Amino acid sequence: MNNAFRALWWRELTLYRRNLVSEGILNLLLPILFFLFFGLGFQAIVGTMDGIPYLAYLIPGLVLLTIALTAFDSLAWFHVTNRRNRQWDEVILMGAFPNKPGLLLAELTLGATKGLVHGIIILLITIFLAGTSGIHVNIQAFLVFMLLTAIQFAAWGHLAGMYTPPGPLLGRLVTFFIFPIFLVSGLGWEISGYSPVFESLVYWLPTHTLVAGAQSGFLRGTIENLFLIIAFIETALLVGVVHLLTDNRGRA
Amino acid sequence: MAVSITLRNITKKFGPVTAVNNLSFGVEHGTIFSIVGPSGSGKSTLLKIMATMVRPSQGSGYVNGQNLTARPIQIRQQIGYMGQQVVLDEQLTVLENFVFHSRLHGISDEEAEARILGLAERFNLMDGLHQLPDGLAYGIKRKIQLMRTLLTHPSILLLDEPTRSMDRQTALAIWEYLREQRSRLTIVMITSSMAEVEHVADRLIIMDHGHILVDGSVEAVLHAQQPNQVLEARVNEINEAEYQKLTKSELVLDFSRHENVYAIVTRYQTSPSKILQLFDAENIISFMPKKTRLADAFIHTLSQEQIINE
Repeated sequence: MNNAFRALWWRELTLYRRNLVSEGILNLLLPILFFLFFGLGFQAIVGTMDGIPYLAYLIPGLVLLTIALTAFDSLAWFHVTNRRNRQWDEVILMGAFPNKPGLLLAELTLGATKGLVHGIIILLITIFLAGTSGIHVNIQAFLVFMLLTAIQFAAWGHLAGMYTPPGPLLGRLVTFFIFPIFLVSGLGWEISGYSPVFESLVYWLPTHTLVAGAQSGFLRGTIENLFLIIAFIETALLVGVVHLLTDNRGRA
Repeated sequence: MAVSITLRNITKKFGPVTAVNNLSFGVEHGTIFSIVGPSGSGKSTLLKIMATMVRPSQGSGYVNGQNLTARPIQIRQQIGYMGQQVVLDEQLTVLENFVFHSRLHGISDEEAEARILGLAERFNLMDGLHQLPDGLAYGIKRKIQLMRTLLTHPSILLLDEPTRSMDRQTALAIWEYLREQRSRLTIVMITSSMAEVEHVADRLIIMDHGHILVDGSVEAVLHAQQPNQVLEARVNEINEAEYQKLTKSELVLDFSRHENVYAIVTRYQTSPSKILQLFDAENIISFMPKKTRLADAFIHTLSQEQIINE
């Protein structure tokens, strides 16, 4: 375990324990309320989606959304805070991390893990509320897409935290970009209902790849190889770009 | 004595501005080396070059035998740098800041605890360990930052105004501690306090416009920049004969009188006893050299530089 892992994890756990209500419980409340109000409301209207009870249909998309928001927020605010008090600059400059890929790995793992933990909590709560009747869960297939979502949005959070100007923009990115893009990508409905042009646009969104892959695994028990390959490639590319853009940290 | 830092013909340009101009010097191990100069003289840039945070435009340098430009990471792992700004994690308590920093540098928890408690006790910070930095005074934050820099046991400390805004007692305690560590520590510091330089520095350079104007020990700088000494003679009464002797003596370059005190300017080489002989022994209340302050030498140096430039 490198020093970055050891220090960052200790810091996050310390702060998480201290801010358990604001960081943990309140963050989990939003998806649960969404699940209850949005899910119960639509369940009453549509009943099932492709033969799957509507509440169960919502679960994979909602879990992915929770993971994405947590992973993004976690790393974005980590970097915004450290930029504000310049701590990270000094830490990097003064050579605590000669191994930059190791540092990036520690940062991404931190954000991704927080996302996964929140996602698993939401998964357990929503399964408890909705049950699993009428669906065929392939947990491995679902977990792969959970993991890829966590890494991708930790990477986006990393970039946003390092390059977003100080101010309310970060919060707006979540409200006006991440949340809507998940909705559009088929979190609560089939994208086949869109116009052909819009459907083909949405089909190639990275979030649709993740949501559709997760739905296949969780609802039908199948692994969509095309979505899996695309999601792997997208994740690798994104992490590569983040590495290139942030590798000059600490250079004189 | 081993040399900790060597700079050769170092120049740093920021666009058209030359911040550091062709500087060469070495700093021996165990030295407290002070850089003084007016604002914008290039002090902080020079310190950042030594810390490998700024890459020189020209010249070469070595820190602990490692090349400044080729091996910056290795150098950074051996030095402790403290800049002008307070850099603390405001979300963590003081103790947590120390623990986080120790973990980042791979120090075991047991070792970190011993070092933190040792420093906190030494610098009278035991009561403040569980506070968030946000509510603390600036001087205390600087002290915490310095303690954090010391946690990793660097062999070279590069400090930019380390005791700024600290109370005198704290500053003295810090310098006492640092002086104790000299066998394993080289210190390069920027300070605007000439009293601090006089008190702690073994050697200083005075910089202006990127150049070194003076380089030497505090004593040597005082003598070099103030070739004359001032002797103060407090007398019982003003004696006309004494006054005439002072006026005519070749040893006396100048003198002034304020009430019953004479301030007599002579060369440093002139023995004070020869001046004392100009007075009637029974008329003298006290006779002593007036201490020359480094601040006077600093101002003298800069004014000489200004005259030359004009």
